[in-house]
Amino acid sequence: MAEFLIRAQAASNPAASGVGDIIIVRPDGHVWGNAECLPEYLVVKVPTVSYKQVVKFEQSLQEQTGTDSEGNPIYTIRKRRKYRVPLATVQAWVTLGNSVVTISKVNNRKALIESVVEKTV
Amino acid sequence: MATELKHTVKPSGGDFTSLDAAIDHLVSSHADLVSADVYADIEIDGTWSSADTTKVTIDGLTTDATRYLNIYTTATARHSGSWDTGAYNLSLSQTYDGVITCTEDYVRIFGLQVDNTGSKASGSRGIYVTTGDNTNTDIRIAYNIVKLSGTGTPNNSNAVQFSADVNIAIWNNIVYDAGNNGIRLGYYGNSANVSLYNNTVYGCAGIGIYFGGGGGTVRLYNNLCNGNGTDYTVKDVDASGTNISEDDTSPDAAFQGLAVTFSNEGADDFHLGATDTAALNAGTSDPGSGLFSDDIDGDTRSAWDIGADEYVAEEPAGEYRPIYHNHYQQMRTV
Repeated sequence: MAEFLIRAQAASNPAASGVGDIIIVRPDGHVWGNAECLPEYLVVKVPTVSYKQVVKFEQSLQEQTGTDSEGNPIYTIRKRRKYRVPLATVQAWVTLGNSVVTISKVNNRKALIESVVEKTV
Repeated sequence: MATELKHTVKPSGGDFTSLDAAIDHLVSSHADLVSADVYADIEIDGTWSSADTTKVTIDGLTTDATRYLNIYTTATARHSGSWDTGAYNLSLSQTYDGVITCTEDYVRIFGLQVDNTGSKASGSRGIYVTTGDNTNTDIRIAYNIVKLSGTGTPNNSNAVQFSADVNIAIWNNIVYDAGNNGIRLGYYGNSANVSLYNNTVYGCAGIGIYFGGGGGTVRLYNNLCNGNGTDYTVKDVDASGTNISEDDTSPDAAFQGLAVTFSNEGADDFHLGATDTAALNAGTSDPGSGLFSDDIDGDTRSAWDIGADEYVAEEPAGEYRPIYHNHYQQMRTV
């Protein structure tokens, strides 16, 4: 049982997250903040989807850029988030004008999870 | 003069419900603090019944000495000097990375609880400052509790780690259970400016405080390392005084071989015990020359104790003792 906070508004800063990026993942029933809403964010509720299954969507996109003196990898952040929902999906939700979207149909939930895009370096 | 840009993080009723969401908003909408002539406060408030589980990435801002990012907890959201699940805490698993990763130059992190539950075999870190070799920085880390609670054979598992040639002050933190180092600076160059004051570092399997050596200026005062594999390995320290080690590694010979009595170390409560004779009133007064004058609990320091806690005797029931908790306001003017 999970809910996503997704960026809905584009930013000019290249270091910022992009539209569709999944910023936060929380278990069902999370109480979101006053600024966690349109125009900047959407809350997408995906009941019955396991939180443990989707919490990885919060990860940033990193690249190994070297090793330290002890041979351990050094990673550099390339994007604030590694996973995003397709733009067309986000735009359709934004058009509805509601800050909270609930994916109620089982097939739609499955399709949403499968549509999440994993960015690469 | 820079003005305040403030956002709140609260479990309910605030702008955001996670610290990283607040930073995501800043990076998207107010990234250039310098051009906007603002300093950004992120105030964490409220009573927390669960942890913030999202990794914090401080990256993508433009800051300077007066237009900086200031993250702090209010008295309501702050711990009381030992881990408190009802206070704000960041608890999550990260490998080869920090729970908080900071690449920005002017950042203050005050009053958080940070726990990396990730495998110690895979580089779990608490607060990881990786600004690169940049002396045009002012990083301040204070009043935090940082622990690494994962398991595994330790490999690059450091509770507080920062990069070379950074200008950084770290004071009044409690750090424990790191797989390798509690507070670590690897080899540093000629421009590092590092100050470590009144930190308590306990139970780290490797080294409590590690400095790999180099140029620059490194100051160590009033730190308390006990119960680590090795309490100190510190090379090329420029100034030190009254740093306690339980073993024979303190840079201050008179403070070697001292086992401190804590309030309840078995329960990870590293407040000083009433019967302690090693750290009580034994510190150097005002080592930061006005940088701070309180302890991790907000208690005013008088005859300075060593470590993050200034011992205050229990008041008899019914008497009122005010607690000073607004270090974040105090620090802004430093």
